Amino acid sequence: MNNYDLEKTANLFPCLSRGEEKMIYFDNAATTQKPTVVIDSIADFYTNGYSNIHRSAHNLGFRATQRYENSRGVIRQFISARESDEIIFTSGATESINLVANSFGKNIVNKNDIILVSEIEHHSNMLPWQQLAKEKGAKVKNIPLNKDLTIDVESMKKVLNDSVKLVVVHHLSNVTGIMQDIKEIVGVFQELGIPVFVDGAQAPAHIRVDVKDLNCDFYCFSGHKAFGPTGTGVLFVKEEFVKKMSPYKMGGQMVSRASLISPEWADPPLKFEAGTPNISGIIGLSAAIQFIEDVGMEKITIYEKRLTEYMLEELSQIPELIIYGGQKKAAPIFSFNVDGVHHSDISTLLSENNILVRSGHLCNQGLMNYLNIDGCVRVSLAFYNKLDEIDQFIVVLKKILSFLNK
Amino acid sequence: MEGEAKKIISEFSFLSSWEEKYEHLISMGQEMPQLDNSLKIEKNLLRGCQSKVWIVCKYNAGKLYFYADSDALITRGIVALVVRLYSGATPQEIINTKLNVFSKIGLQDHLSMNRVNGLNIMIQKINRHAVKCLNDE
Ligand SMILES: Cc1ncc(COP(=O)(O)O)c(C=O)c1O
Repeated sequence: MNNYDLEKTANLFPCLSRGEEKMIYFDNAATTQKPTVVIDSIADFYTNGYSNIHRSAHNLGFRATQRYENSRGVIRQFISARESDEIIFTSGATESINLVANSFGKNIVNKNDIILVSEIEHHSNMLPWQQLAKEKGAKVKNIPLNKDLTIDVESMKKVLNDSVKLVVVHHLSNVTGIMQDIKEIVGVFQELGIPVFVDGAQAPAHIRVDVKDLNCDFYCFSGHKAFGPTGTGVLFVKEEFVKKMSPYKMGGQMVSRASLISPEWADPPLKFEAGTPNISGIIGLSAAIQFIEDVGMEKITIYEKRLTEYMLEELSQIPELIIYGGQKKAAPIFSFNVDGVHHSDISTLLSENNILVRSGHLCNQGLMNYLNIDGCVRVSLAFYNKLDEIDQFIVVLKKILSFLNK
Repeated sequence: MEGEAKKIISEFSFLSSWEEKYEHLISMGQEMPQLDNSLKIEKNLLRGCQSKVWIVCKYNAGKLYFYADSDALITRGIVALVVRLYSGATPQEIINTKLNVFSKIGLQDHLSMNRVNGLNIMIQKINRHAVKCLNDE
């Protein structure tokens, strides 16, 4: 345990070490690859202990329920939440955000109220709030930003008033890898009793998330971006707020007494998990989290810092290349454009050379508008990537740029 | 159309490396006349592509002519290829012919999904236009 050689972890991910064609996977901000332990845990559940949960009074059902609920405990510990009841399982960050907008937002936001949202959020963390505002006759207002794309806390204090009912920010940007100082932001709002929602979709694959320390009221992420299965997500809600939320999905296992006139909801978190959940996915997610802990989150962060510094150094040697968001990255996520070259041409030719990246608006039109660009190339690494992959990428990138500039 | 498709496939069959293939595709794009800026407007813009693609359709003496452009080099090449294939054909020809040129020139794998969608969107638009021309007659 705890003895993984970070230069060799790629071998633990079957899709990365598939035979013949060598591929460099630099699209980790879109989704991460899965280690064998995750794939095996899912197969094992279906093979050796499959059943529905929370309902059937038989051994198989008890054991499946236990595995599912143990996973909740694993997640609680991973993000340092106080209680397992503060962990709600969802299908992903997107569902977590929609859940809060509907279950909580609708209860506290009223006509003419303000929801403060940074203008550089992922669409998933923008559209649900805009929809909520529209339905309630409320307004979504931008949070001012510093030049380096961090939140300008001092200016933010100035736009504060009694109408602000909720604050929405991301933890780690899906475009730049830059981290927001959540603790400081929460500090400002806490005194005023204004809840803070944090979209942490990009964080748990790269940095230690400690919701107690961040002190935010809501935090969410997707399993698939942290080496877990697709269709799994986590929503952390501070206990005092769980009580203020009403369910927005109705169905099985979320009531303690079903009556058409006055149903009694089950206690949270089950109240928010109506219907049969993604049991195998959640079991796989807990295997992914255990895997991260085995590798060592702190080791990952240190190793990724090396990757980040090296990549920045190499990219800085390419003239005409503009990297967005500056050098202070908390994760190896790099978005750039090259003067006179279209981002989609670069990503197409990288793919032609088996280097997989993403280009376009990256589901963050707000940030594209803010930067006044229509898209960019995004190169995003994970801890299984290596320094020599960066070398190869740079060689190919230079070749492509000279090809396109001919 | 079939003849032009054969010609394109044969042109690419002599090229093996990605450099050669893309060089050819890009030069096809460069040879295509640019669309006048007055036509690069919202109405002619195709939705769903990663880069911008504009297409204008003209119907004249029983034949359809297409004029198109893109802001990305490779996409412009793809657009030029599509124009070469379809421009000057009758609406009936366009509706009746199914082409799979892209898989035959060894590029489809590498054209990202977004762009393949863009390609499909462009071909759909051409087909819709052909149907409209027939219906209007
Ligand atoms: C910052 C951020 N928020 C939200 C999401 C949405 O995640 P999902 O599609 O897994 O629900 C993403 C995914 O790209 C993201 O990067």
